Amino acid sequence: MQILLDNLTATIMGGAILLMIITANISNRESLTDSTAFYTMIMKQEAFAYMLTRDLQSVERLSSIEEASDSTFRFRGHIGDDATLHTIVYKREYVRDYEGTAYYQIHRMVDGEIAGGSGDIITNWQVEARDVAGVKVSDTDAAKQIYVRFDVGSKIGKQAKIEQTYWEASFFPPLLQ
Amino acid sequence: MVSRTKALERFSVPLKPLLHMTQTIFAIVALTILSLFIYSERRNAVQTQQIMVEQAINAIGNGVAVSRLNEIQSYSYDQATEDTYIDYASQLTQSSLFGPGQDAENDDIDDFHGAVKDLYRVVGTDTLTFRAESYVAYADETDPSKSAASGTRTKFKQVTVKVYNLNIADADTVLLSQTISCKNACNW
Repeated sequence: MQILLDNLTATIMGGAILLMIITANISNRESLTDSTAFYTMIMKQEAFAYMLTRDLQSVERLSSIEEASDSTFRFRGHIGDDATLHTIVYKREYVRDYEGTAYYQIHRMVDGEIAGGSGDIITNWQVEARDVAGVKVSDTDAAKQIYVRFDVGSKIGKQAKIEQTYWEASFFPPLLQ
Repeated sequence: MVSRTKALERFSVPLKPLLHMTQTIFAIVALTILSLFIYSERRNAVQTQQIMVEQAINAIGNGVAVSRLNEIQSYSYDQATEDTYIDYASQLTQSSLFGPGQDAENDDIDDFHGAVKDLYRVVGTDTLTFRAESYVAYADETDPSKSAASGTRTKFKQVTVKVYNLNIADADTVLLSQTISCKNACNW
């Protein structure tokens, strides 16, 4: 009887310990997957922010004061070192829903050709022309600043609160001043 | 002569509690190792989350730095070039006079030297405060990525913006630097 009781206790304890180790291991793997997804997202975000910074500093003329109804934001600007004016378009495209959040990809087009983009990490995209005081303008001729904000999210993570962040900046292109 | 069975019986009495004690010790050791393992796993997970939050805040800080840098570079290159062209470097502001108190208002790049501005960003229900410090120095005309020799006035100014978060001590400091040219306003 004692042997049976001892064996039973040992089995229960061993099983409990094994279960805890497995749970901790699964949790660790999930955490690793989440952090990998997060860092990938951050890298994509940084690359996109860098691209936006270069483009929006060189704006000479805006086509609209905010994203147009066809989900595009269009402007003319100088990119690169030459004096050539290019038409640059940022076009938002719906990708999919994930845990109730819509994800988009922003395509960047230069003179009609796709030239980079954001990756499908965008959960919110806002771009608008503002005046000197930072107030949204109603006419592109009054634009002195360009405000841009984009939110990004990681599609794999479960704790969406932490795995979402945003990037926000105001640009004062010299040629708009 | 003691028989084998009797001898075993004699030993079996002190062996039993010893065996039970050994089992208990093993169980305690196993539970201790397990607790340490779980603690270590949990700590790793918390640290990972913490780093992710810091990275997210750094990304926001980068946007703050870009905004500030852009704001500064939208101003005139120098007080002397505000509405006219100049022919000599000596007409430019001396670097010892860089700073906010130089003229009535901040209307040219070097007025932002040493300036400190707090900027706010909302994250969920929290408001994060970012402090942006800016520094301006003349850059070398032959190699604008380098600072000019002390006292030299050139047609390039290097603006550096340093942004850090006031709410989270461990968050990284963002440093952005850009060289701004006098362009056609400097005729030499």
